[in-house]
Amino acid sequence: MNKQPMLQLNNVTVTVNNGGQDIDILKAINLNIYPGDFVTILGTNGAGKSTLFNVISGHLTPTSGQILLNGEDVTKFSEEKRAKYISRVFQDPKLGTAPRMTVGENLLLAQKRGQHRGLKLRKLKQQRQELVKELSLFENGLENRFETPTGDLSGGQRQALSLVMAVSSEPDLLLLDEHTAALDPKTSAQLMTFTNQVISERQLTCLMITHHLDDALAYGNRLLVLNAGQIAEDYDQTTKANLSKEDMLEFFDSAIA
Amino acid sequence: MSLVTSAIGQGLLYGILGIGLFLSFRILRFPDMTIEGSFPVGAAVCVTAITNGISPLIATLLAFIAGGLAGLATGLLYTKGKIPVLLAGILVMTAIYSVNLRVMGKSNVSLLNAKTLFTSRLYDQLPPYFNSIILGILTVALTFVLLTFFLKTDLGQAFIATGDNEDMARSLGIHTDTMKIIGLVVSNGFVGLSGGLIAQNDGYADVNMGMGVIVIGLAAVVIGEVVYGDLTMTQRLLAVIFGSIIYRIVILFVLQLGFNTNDLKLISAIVLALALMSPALKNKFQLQKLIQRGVARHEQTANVTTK
Repeated sequence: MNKQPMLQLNNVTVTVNNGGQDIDILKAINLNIYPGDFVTILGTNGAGKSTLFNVISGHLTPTSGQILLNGEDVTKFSEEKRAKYISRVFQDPKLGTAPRMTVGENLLLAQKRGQHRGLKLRKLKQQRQELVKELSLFENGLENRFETPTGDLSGGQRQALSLVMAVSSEPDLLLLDEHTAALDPKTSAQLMTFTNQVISERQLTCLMITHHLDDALAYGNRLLVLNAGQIAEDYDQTTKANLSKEDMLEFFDSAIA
Repeated sequence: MSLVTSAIGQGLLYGILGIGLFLSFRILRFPDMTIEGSFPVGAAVCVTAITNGISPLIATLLAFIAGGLAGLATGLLYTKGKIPVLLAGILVMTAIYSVNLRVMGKSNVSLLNAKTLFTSRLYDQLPPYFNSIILGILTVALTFVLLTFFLKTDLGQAFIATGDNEDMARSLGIHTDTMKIIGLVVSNGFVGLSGGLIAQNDGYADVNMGMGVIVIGLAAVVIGEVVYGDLTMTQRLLAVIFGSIIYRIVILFVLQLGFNTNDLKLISAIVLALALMSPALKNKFQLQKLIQRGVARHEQTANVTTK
């Protein structure tokens, strides 16, 4: 592949001070993500997966190293500034939506991701049809709850809404942080199918953290395995296709030992 | 009758204070103590301006600006200085006490014989206290129109989202620090405006007039919520105004029972405490019903099994 990477991490290290002792949560990570990549990320607890996302989204500034987005150095950009390019869905359904605002209001907020917000009327009614269309994609009744405060939705509906919100503004990079983990198995599988469908239809570049070995193997064109702050394995599409769940379990057993 | 008229007029004027509080306490969910400073600073600036010959209308606008500046100070201490919002508010409130003494030159300035917004010849034809009602309705209407417009703009929605889910707001590219500062400025601006109007209505400004205004403003917000329940954002703003009027009438009623004005703060606190406790009290009663039902059902099943 000789395309230009969409996201580049050069020697990114994150160090925290824990009781007088410096601990590297990420150790000199080098990573290139190309446009259209759908990368699944596995790793034990504490491997640094969430920290990796926090550094990419700008929630955390790396201790050292450089982050490039579309060739531009964004290492010093705030989270608000990077929101123009990056959207994120969290594990906790409560984090992704404003509970007292309605489904429609939330989606409208998300459509203006990273844009200037001034004293112009929001025009919710005029855009309703378009927003409802976007909500009906997931086929779980969200479109009928346009005026419901999101605090009254089920966890599954809230996560679906969070995902719709994240993709509706067509971000350059989509970060999914175990976004199906808090849901029951059936809802989780539905959301995962929908996620995969949206990503391929809109040709989004996506990083997805998951603890489901099956999902990690079944979806995406690349698989990263993180261990102790480093990228332990980086499988491309062909090698990933030959991996079995047993290989992965074996890896986790040795990582924990 | 004129006592009730006066109470309604005061309810409207203090309703602006309630709306200011609604923005910080309810939308941003900040326990903003600045209010006890921005209210008297509005009064002090307004009265001093009027006694120095500035037109009452401009003096009233100055009250809004003075209150807004107090909010700005708190906002900066909180967002840039990383001081907890409660403490930032207390700092500003304390500092304002000295500012007010500087502004007024003494602790109490009277507006005796001065021209204010409440002393137009137009009001002379009307029964007593109608000036406060007319002026109250005008100001409330203006506040209401401006705020409902603001809250429906992109900026206003970003402001609401910041109070509702800050992490989400930031991840959508909303500058949450700016939203908090805007919120505190506008909120305290309205509180200052209310202070300026109340001072003109009462005919004086006093350095101590901020004491307990949080209780008055919160009472308006909470009573409005208790009485009207689940509402849209626009309706909630109106509910605050009605809450403020109801609060004034309750206070009037209590005073008529023979309490004297020295007891006012105690009564205010009790009224607010009761309003705040009302959901808990309601829950408690429902809980008892539930317990009764639970026991009854248990007995039934017990009967079935023994059979």
